[in-house]
Amino acid sequence: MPQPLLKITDLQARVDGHTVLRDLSLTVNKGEVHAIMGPNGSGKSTLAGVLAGNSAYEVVKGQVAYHTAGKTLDLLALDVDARALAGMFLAFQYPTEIAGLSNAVFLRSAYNAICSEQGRVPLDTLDFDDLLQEKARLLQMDKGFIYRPLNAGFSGGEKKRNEILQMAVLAPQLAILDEIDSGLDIDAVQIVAKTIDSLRTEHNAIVLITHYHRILNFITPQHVHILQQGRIVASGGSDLARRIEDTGYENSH
Amino acid sequence: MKTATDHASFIALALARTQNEPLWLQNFRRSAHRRWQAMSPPTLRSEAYRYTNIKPLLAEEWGAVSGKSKLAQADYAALRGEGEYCCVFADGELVSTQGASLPQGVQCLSLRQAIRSGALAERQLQASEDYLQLLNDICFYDGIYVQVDTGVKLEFPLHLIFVNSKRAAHSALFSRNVIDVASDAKLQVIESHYGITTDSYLSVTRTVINIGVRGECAVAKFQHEGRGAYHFSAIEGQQQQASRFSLLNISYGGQLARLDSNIEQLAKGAHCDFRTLYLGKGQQVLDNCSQIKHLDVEGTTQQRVRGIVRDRARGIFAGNISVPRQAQRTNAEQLTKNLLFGKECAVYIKPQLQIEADDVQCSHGATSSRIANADLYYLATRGIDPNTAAQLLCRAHVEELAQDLPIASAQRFFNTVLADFLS
Repeated sequence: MPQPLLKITDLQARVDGHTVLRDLSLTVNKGEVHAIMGPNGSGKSTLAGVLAGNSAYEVVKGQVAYHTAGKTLDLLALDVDARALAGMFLAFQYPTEIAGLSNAVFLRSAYNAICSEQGRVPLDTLDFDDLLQEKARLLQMDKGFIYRPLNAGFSGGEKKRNEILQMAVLAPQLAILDEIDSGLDIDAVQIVAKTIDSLRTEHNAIVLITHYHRILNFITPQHVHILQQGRIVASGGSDLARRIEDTGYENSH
Repeated sequence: MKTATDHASFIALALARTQNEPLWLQNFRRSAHRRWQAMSPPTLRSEAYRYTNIKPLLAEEWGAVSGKSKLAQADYAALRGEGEYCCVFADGELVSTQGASLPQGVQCLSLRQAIRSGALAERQLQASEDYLQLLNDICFYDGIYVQVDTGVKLEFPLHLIFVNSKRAAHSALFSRNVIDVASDAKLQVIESHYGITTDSYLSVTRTVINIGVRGECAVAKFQHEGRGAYHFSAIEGQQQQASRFSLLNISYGGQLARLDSNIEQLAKGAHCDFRTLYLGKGQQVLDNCSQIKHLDVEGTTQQRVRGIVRDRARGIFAGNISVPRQAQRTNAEQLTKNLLFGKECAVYIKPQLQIEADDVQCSHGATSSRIANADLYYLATRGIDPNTAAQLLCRAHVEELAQDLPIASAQRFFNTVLADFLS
């Protein structure tokens, strides 16, 4: 029996007065991976931003129900940090650079905020370092990398790995990965994808936003959705992604 | 506004207690007094005080400190660091020295002692041209005199702790420090100014440092005066060939605080590392002025300023690096970055490079901004609440200054004031 984690109903959102998402509905159950594909400007990143609470997007109508810890939350009514504390995670397409703020300090603050929310004991610096290094090894990241300023001076690929490192540490219930494969070479795609795949459990879910099929060679989604002009125009299994690769978005439905 | 004669009472008191001083010093003070009387106080029309209004302090009637100090060790215990040699001043007067013993070749005297013993020479007192520092020339009473002999390296900091208590309320305090670091010698100095009263007082301090050939001197100035204090200080340094001077200036306390730091690189290959952190809140005005003169070839300067202001506080930075024609192959960098919280706070920045030499690498930059919403959003998506996020971002803003501090123990001041400011 599928257990719903996220249920989006008739979502409409706009940016600067332009409607970007139109009556979008989607249900994500626990244990599932959903791939959302679509051409540039189809609304993929807007969907990610709306779910994460980015104030640049205005929700005009629709509901988003988020089921966690036996409760159903109105996700759109939650502050950005409250969404994260409730188990949501957004891997950014363009992660923010913050010079002066060490990756480790930042991530420990985030980890301990979530610990406090969940009634777990926060980790001290040493214990957290152990955890961080263990997760960094999964991504074959250099140890020194985790003490560098957050994303500052990182290459595009390093930033993406760092996003997945954060996901690995924070262990979210729902991860929305916005073009996590862009800017990665083929070896890095494989490492990142395999790490994401290793983080799948029957209790969490992943929404993978991507342009390309190649990351799906390493993570097999149960559901693939094609987004065009703010609407889901086609849904199917992983074979839909392969078909897109051959025929393009225009002929996908 | 009060005129010069309105302050005659505390000046007369100060002059009266200097009667037993050497004649050259009495003449020095009289000359300063004459020049001060002939001078008009600076106003907002004076370039050097364009953003700093000293009218309120001139309107107050300042007296001299009287009575006996009731300072207890507990009043300043938190300031003391391990392994330091501490000189504690209560309301401007040296009351104790504590800590590690000084090695041979390091002479550390109270300024009173240095005057009495003749250790202080006339050449070590340069007359000021600043209105308030001229008052220091007239009235300075105590302070420290340090002489580090050739080749002697003091590996632990000398900590000058100036504690101002309720006894200093409505008084003017003047201290003077004279520091000579000879060739190949090394010295670390922490200068803490700490107020344990909320009453107003005027503290005018001046530290003059001479660094010999290949000498090294690191100074950490920690200004945490009482809430009602007016604090005006000057740090003046002269550097000889291949010498190294570093200054970490942390300005946090007082209602109006100003530091004028003036450095002259007199000979080839001198290096200067300047770091300023100011954290203003309430209605504080924190003014930081510096003048660095490269007067010979191959000098280097790295100047970094970070400020954070909130509420209705004002932060000021006016920094000038001059590179005249003879100072070829100078490498100087000045960067100031400021963060503002709220709509009523402000920063005034005046970065200046005056370059006449044609074979130099010099740059300067200045920014002032509010915390970026994108940064707050990114942290929020990881579950970090806005308050904690702002604290992390403030820390990030100033973090560069805390790296590789020339005086490692100054790190705790950095952390203490930052935590207090952000709390």
